Amino acid sequence: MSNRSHDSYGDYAVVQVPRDQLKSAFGLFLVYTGVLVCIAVIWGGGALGNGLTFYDMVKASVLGSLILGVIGFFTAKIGGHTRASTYVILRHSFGRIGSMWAGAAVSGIACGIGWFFIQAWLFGTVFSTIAKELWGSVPFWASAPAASLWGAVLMTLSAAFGYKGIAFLSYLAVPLFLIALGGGSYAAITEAGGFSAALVAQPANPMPFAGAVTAVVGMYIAGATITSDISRYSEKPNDGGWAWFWQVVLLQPVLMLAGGTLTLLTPASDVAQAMAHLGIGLGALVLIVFGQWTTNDNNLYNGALAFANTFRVKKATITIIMGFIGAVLASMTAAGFFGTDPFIKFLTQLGRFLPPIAGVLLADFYVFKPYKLGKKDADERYAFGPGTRYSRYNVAGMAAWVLAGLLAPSIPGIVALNSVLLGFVLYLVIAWGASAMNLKYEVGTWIEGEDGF
Amino acid sequence: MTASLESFKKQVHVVTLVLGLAALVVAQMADTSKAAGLYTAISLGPVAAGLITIYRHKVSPGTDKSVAKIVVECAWVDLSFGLGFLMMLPSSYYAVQSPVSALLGIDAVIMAAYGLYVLINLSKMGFSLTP
Repeated sequence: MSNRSHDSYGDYAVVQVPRDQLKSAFGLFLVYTGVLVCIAVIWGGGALGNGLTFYDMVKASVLGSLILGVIGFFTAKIGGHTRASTYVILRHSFGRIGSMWAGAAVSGIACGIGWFFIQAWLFGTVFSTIAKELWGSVPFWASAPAASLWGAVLMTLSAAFGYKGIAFLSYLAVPLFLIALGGGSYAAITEAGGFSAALVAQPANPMPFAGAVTAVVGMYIAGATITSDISRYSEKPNDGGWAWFWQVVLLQPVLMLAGGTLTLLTPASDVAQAMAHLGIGLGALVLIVFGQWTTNDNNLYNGALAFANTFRVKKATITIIMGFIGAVLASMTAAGFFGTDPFIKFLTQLGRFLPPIAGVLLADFYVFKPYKLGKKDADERYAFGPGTRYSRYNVAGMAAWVLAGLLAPSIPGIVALNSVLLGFVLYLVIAWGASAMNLKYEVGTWIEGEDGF
Repeated sequence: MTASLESFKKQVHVVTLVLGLAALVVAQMADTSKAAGLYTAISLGPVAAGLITIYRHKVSPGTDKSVAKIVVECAWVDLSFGLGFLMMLPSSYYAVQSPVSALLGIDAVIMAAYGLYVLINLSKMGFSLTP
């Protein structure tokens, strides 16, 4: 039996990425940046500008981004060592069936269907607003339902090509987005009073500093949890970690400050709309189209990776099915058939259960396996390939995951960070405790087949 | 090493630097400081990419794959920054006088077209465009 699985499902979805397919740190940096840059982050910065002074906004966005940078560095490093997706990695700390459930729930349903359709709907809505600002009226193709539909189709197309598709788009779109954002936010802020006015402006509705840091961390903790989906392609184990760290620490504060500074000066935080109003129309369109496209194709990519670990179906097929569902839902929402509130409430509840996965992963990879089970070599710590034996359920991992998701909101502090820390501590307590008492916390056996499933 | 890859290795940083520096010089002729500032900032992208490419070639192991990776990444900068100029030039906020606009536009078209040309050729040679 060969020790290397055949890539039956495409994009190395359930097998390790071969060494000759690994990518440069610069490429990973651009892909991570593509995920980060979107309208929602700029609007998130706008929320900070509503409650903080400029200097507090700088401090909150940098501190929150640093927390995300550190968590994401270590999760990405796991992907760099194992060359496997988050959901395949979870087979060791959640068990084979546990990884199917956890991955499908928090990434498959939440990212691949839920947030994908919400972001596609947002794309359509913002695009039609800008179209009206630019052209005075909205042609049918630019209306919110139509733009949601074709926007979702574009996003599905790049995601269907897997990592190559999203990387190709990021190489082209990320520099364009950053040029548009730089030129656009400078113009919008200057016309709204300038940076000197922003430095002394007082927020309309002051908010506590800790609440602002919580908001920054909460906004992107999901991304910091599933970094391995990208870093599995890194040439050196740390490349993905550093690519993640620098893009989030350098660029997230810039995006947030663009929206936040504008909100400090005016009641609005919509940089794209301000750009269109100032005659930077093409830049505004690039900001929306490429910003949403590079982020949302990643939602679909992550969701499809999770489902590929759950169902024996080609990843591209899963991507197209989810893209179709998302496109229809986004278009119907934009047409007014139903609102987004119930979906967002459901996704927010489900989102509570994503950060604890990072805690369990970190505890298992960096503490339990090396110091309890003696697996010191990080590259050999997790085995994959045909014939590899996994438990069906790792009770320690699953219990820590669910308990951390349920308990974290009732503990004071940064909820998303609490979730990660609780998952980390609970996993170690349960697994180490059970191990010390000779209690079995891994149930059943699953043997990996030739196809990596 | 194939001849074409060798020729791209020799020329990509030169073309990128020359086009970037040309844009940098032209940007200083803009009649408003905000336009001069924006186009100077964009010009610095290809200038930096050209210099970094020279350094990367010096420390590269020199295999076809490693050379192609450096050339491809520099070509992507040409393509995206060329398009970046073309995206901002029509904006009324950053409008510049016609001769400057025309010069920057020509420089940007050449930059984007050259980047695309290199990428297409390297793709035909079988190298990854997402190294």
